[in-house]
Amino acid sequence: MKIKKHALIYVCLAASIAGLVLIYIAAINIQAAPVPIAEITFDMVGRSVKTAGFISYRSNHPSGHIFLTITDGDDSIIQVPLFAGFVSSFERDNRQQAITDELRRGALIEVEGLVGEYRGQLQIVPRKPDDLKILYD
Amino acid sequence: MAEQDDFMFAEIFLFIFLGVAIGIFAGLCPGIHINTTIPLLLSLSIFIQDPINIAVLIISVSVTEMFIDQVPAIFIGMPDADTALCVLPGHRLLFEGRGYEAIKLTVVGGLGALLLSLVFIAVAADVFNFLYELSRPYIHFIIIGVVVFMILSEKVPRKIAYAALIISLSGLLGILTLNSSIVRQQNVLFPVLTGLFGLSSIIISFSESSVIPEQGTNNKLKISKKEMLKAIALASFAGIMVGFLPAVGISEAAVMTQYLGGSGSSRGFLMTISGINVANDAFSLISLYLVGNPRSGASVAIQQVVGEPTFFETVFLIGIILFTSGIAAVLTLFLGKKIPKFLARINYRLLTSAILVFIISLVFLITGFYGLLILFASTSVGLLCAFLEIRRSHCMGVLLIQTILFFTGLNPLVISILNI
Repeated sequence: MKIKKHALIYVCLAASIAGLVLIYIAAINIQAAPVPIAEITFDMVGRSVKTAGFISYRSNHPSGHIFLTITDGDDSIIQVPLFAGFVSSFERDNRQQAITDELRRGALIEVEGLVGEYRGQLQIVPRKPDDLKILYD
Repeated sequence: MAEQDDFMFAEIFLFIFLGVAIGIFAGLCPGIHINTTIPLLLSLSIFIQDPINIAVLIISVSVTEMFIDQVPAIFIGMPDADTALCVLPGHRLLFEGRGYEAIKLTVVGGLGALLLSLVFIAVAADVFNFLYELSRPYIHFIIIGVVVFMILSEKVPRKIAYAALIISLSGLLGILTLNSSIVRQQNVLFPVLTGLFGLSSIIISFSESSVIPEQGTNNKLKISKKEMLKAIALASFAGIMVGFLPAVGISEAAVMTQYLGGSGSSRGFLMTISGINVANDAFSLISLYLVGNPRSGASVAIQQVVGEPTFFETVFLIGIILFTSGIAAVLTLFLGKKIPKFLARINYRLLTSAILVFIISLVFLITGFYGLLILFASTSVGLLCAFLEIRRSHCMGVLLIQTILFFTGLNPLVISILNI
């Protein structure tokens, strides 16, 4: 009985590790689909997308968060919240503390992240420094 | 004028009963959370003229669903994020022939915590904003402390190592699933929690038990008054805490109260979890008035339709919460009495086989192939935890580790390293 239980433990451990490895492989191989801002809808909440747009509004929160609104130049807009943890990683990754200053009104950025909804508005939340690129400011 | 008032009351009762009916359906259907129901309710708002009636509908659905949710969690092991930890103590009582007692405990815990939390809120309304700002920078230290305490509470070095292993594996599962888009984020917790707590329990009970024992007729709660009061007090306090501590959910709060407050036996724990759910729901709705900040999906929806409620609207909505809780409690007790007797009459192995097929099919339908992959990994971790004979709450590492990473600002770094 004891041997049987040990065997079950090893099987479960192996299955757990195998499952995690497979999830990891799936996660790194799923690419975000490029979608224009105008085509991002509430149906896409929870999906990962990549889009580009001009910053039309920026506000800084005392806790270090930066809230951007980007537009495609027409009427379509989407919120891009950059949380404090992301901001410091982004600056560290770019080895430039003032890089977030370049995120000013009019700058063209490319952002990748999960589509979310906050207070009835759509947003894209970038998760790692590579998810945000300043195309030109 | 009197006729107009009568019509208004009739309309309110109509929306309450409609909400209760939707809440029963959504509560009994595994995998449906209140946040899944809300968009549907909001879409109905074009047919409802008075915004306050929409608020009544949302509250009735939310409160009823919260009570009824315990039924599938306890009897067929299909939890959501808020009832995940009810599965084990509920199953244990079911197999002792005391399934109805498990349901009764959740109802008493829910109602008790609702009343006590309203008293807490009335007394301490002014300090919530202050506490919210004060706690925010330190929340990760509290959660780290809880995780360390969870591991060390196993006492024996071998089990401490096992606990660390389970928290690490479930934590990694959380990081990989909650930060990637292999499954839609609003659905991802379904396979994760069903595997860790539900499916793994069903597989074990399938291999160990062939029948659900006949359910006893003695419905008396086997819990001391002192423990009951302690569970309700802890639940009320923790429910409010969940309301203003960012990113701390019901299950995290239940783990914290279990380890820091000592919620005692499995009966006390069932009462605590249910109480936290109800107290949190009440506080989340009232927080719209208190701090102008919605703290749940239901309160966000209410804010969308009503805006920030006035004092009198808030009092009215509290009345709706209390009234609907009473109805939902009676209905939950009714279902809690009928369902275990029904389960005891049928072939349990056949039933669990059917539930296994149903869960796997539902996960596939909702989350696709990758959902099945997540279910496989999470069930393996849940089974490993059971076979190592340590507390299943260590599997809550799936949410706790992710919360710590978010609040320490390390999440982007970890995602970069993993390149997901």
